[in-house]
Amino acid sequence: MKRGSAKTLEKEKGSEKIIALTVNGEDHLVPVEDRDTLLDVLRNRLSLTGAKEGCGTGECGSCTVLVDGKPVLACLTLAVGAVGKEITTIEGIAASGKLSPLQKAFIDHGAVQCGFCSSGMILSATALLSDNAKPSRQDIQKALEGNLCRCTGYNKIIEAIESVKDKK
Amino acid sequence: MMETIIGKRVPRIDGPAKVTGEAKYTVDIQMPGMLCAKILRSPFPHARILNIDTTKASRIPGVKAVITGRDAWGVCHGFVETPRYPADQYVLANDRVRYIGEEVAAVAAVDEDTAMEALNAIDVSYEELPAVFDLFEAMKPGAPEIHPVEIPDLIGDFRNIGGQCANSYGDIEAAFSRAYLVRKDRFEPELRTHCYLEPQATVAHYDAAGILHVWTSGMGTFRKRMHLSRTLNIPASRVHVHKSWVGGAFGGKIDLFSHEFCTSLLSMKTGKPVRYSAEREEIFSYFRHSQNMIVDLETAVDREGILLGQRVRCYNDCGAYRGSGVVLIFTTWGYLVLPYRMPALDYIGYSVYTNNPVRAPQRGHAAPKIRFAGETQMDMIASDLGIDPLTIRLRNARRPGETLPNGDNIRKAGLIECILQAAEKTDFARKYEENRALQKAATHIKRGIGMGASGYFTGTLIYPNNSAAMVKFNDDGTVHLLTGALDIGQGAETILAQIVAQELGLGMEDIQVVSGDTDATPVDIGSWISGLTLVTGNAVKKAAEDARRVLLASASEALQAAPEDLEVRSRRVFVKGTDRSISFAQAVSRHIRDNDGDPIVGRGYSRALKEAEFGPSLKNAKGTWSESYAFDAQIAEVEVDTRTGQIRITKAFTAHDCGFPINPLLVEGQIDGQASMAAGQAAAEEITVKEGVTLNPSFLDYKLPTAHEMVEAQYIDVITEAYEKDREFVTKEVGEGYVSGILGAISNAVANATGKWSTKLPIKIMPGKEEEE
Amino acid sequence: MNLPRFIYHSPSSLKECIATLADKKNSAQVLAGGSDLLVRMKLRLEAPGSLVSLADIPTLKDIVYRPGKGLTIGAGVTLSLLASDAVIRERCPALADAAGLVATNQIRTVATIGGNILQNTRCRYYNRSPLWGMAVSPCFKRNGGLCHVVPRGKRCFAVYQGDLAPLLIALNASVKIVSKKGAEEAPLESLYSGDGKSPFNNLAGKVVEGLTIPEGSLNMLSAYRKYRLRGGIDFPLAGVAVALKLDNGLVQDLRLCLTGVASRPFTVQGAGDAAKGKPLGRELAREEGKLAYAAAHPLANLEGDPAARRSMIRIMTEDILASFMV
Repeated sequence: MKRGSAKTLEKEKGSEKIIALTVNGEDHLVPVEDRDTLLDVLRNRLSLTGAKEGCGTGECGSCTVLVDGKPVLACLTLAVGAVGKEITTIEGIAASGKLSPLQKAFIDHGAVQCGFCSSGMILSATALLSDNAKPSRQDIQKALEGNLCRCTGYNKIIEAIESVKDKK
Repeated sequence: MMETIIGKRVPRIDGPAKVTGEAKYTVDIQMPGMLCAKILRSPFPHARILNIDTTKASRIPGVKAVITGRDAWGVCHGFVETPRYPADQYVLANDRVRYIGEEVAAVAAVDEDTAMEALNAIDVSYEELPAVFDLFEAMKPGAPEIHPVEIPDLIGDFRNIGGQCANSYGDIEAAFSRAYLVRKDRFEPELRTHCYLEPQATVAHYDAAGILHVWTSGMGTFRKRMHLSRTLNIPASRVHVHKSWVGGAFGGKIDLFSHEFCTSLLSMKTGKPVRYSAEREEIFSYFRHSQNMIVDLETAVDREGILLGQRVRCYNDCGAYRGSGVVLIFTTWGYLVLPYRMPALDYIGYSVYTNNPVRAPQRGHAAPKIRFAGETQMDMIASDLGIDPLTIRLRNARRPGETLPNGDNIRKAGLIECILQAAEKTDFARKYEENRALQKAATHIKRGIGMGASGYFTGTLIYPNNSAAMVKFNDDGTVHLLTGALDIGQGAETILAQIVAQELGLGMEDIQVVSGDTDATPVDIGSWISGLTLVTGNAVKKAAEDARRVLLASASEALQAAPEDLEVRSRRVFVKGTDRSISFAQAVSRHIRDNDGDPIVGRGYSRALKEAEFGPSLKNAKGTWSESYAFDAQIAEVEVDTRTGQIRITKAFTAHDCGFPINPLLVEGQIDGQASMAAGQAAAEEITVKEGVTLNPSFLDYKLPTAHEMVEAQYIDVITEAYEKDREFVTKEVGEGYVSGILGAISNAVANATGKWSTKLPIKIMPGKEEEE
Repeated sequence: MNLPRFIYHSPSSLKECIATLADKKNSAQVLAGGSDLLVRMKLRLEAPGSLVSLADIPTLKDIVYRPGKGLTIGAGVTLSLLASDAVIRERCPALADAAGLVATNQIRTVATIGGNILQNTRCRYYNRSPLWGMAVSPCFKRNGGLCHVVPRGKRCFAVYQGDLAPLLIALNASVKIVSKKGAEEAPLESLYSGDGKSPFNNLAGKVVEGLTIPEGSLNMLSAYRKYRLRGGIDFPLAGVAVALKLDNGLVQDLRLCLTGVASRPFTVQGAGDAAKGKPLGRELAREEGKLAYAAAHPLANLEGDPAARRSMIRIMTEDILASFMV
């Protein structure tokens, strides 16, 4: 095996730029390539691994984060396009170390099993409840239609969201 | 009286880590200098490998290692490795590939792009061989030979038989000759797949001391260690499989996978940490789907619908390697004879090699397939005889204390009670008749209710055969539980901690669980043969009892009271009926002081089938299988739009005998998940494979349920066992069995709505058909 | 799963956008919400040298109703906004409803109406990665020379599965296309080539600025129905849009457009003629249903049985017309 020359690697790597991202209320300067998705940057540059890659093609919802309060798929969002926006990840939901009522409800109602969908699920539900404090069962199902879960059958997830809604 | 935490709806202890994003899964593990691994796969379903040239790939800057079958010592592995069924799959293809996607080479490079470039630069020359994809074609004389196999006791002139399980008993001829009714039906459940949300991933790091550290998304770290040590040819003690959280498995992560071997070997070659993470499409296409099976069910009954005998032939297409196929055809037999009395049986199950992708167990393994067949045919027979579904089941269901054909006793089986309660709580009889009367009504929205029953085993003998646990007291009076169990989402850590809390009078917050680490924890069977709560649970109970015994002995001296006069609660030891007490911390410190520094560490162990030397025979289904069987009766309600063909599953009711629930909240979660998986299987899910290529390899194309398809679930526990002090407890399986009864129930509910049975899954009703007729 | 490399541009005006596109020639593509294009790029089905984002062009996000002129919607309006905007809800509720049926909540948050109408055609043999493709000979759309769905086919039969275009076409919507040469207004229908491989007539260097639904159409009864196997997420396996104008209970105008059955949004020819002057009733619904059924030829390029999809075209057509009778 030959050793790769630094020069070739440079050429292959493409150009990086530094961008400012506001994540969970904090500003970060991060080196990115234009092609990097927000998910790549959150997970690999900022070590915020709460957002998961379940498919990479926008079908499972495990990578859901909030951009300006709205749920988006980080795997289909360009990091360079997220400059100047407020990005909230699951790590920012219990920022002060105190679980949100929704996070607590997910635990108490058995809405978490393997946990892989939980981050995205909680963020989708957080966005729903901030738009609509009293969503109907159908509203909840609609809000979660892009968050797949294979463990729970969704029953206890919906129950958890309804329990928080009832308290509002 | 001591407070009890067994039977409480205790929130899971991993909840906070999972709702905050803190929980680290294998894909979340990052290490400095970590390399990216990629795997080159076969583009052909069947071919000879003439040559693999990796020279170009190795020269690409940034490529650190390239491995092929030549680096893999010709080592084979299999889900089953026995003299009858020796391992049949190379970890990396040697001279032949047998399915599209079979692993041919692997690379480790500095990043994903470079790794991909390297894959493209590997030059493989193949000579294509004839391939066969249909299992009946594969069985014919003259079919392309996939493996040179010989089953010495093979029944029939068939080719490519990877496994055969034959079992008969009773006078089958007599049964059929005195039958009032014989029904013969072929059932064809679809090929389904697991859809665990976390992709398969492995991180390996071979350190300077020659220890291989592995994190992998699996279902039991000790079993992975065994496979890795064997295939890598290094001692098990030098393979350290660490715990990481597992994002769902459902059976699909139990086998050794080639990427686990490759990632490890690549790290050994480079001395660097290496990560492999599968793409979702790769998982759908080349990783293991569920086992599929075609069931020919010929059943003889008398005028009352009492089962007299069955002739059963099952055909499993196991794909290019055996995988779990040879286990499937044994357990099919098991789930066939478990719920109902069967006086005579002629059973043969064949597992057939084809050039399709390899298959794995999926939640319930054989049970959903054979119970779908059995429960559907049970209703067909009932209908033929003019008996209702409830009565025919009650006439045939096994009663407590019955003995199975293999000699296992089902002890306090609550099946009859489950059937009765399910029927009563859902008003089954009335709804069933009402719906039937409306089958011909003018409306195209029809309602249906259906019943299904099932049973399931609770742990059996298979490697590793035992579970052990340790309970260590800390100086502050709290404990650490060390268990090899792996929580794959079902809540293993929570119920094991509950058992410790119960035995030591501690709160859940006083117990830290260290789990699933092959270096730090005692051995465990893992989360995959439905025996964790029974086997690991009793090991943990014993460890906690052991720790308590030592703690009480120490307290006994301090309090000047006999150990049997002491009780534990709130982290203190009390003299019963008094307020005289010392704290756990004091008792622990006293024990250390008085015993030359010996801390309090309780040990416990357990094993499935303690009396047996071997597990059941995969060849003839003889021998003991399990010492505890769970039972259920499930009822589904559906709404069918006969005009659009839409089937909506509105309710799933489960009456089940799990012994007793340690944590009802977690039990319900298991049932919900199974009802959902069954609903998907009944109405929508289906992997389409054409000539070895999966045509729907994505969450968009494979129709697993979304939040819209949530099925309202109700449950009732039929309690047949209890948790008692100083005694081993008996629990019954809850994680897999309930996918089957409900599947049969849905099938029967659709028939109740429409008057038509479906012998295939998913059930399809052609839109517009009704009007055209 | 990473993206191929490209250079990202985010012009702040349409003019700048056109200039950038012209400058980058054919290797540049317009990026709207990205939910279609970025997935295809991840699968290496596209590898444009540059992406020109519309995200920072404020004028593309306008929704304006002008009495007499109709409803104009900027191409950059997201589907979430489309589904909830008060003006849309008031003037064209069917469009808001259709927008709410697209994909998932997260996708609707970013996907735009412009991106949706220009959504590429799909096929079970096309929307796959090169790794999957290694075992399957390349079809027309993957730059090969055959079709796996129609083995003797001479062209690509990939299917158009947009949810909004059929309704917008039934409503006679026009698009405003801007290029270096200036702006032009064209019927929405004229964008579609009907070829599965390259489903759009030449749009290189051009940007769709917005759509207009004419005033006359806003007074029509209109609806879109979608057939899919799950309650959410899925693309339409078949979809029907109907716009209907009644005069004294008699049909004055009826337009019927389908999705999920051809390589373009498919207008059912003769649907209007067959209905003209007839009373809206069950008989007409059945007749239109039959016409739609006869016109639709779904192929086995998606999940779901083509025969079932075809029958659903008939059933949904009947159901929409029945819903107008209430």
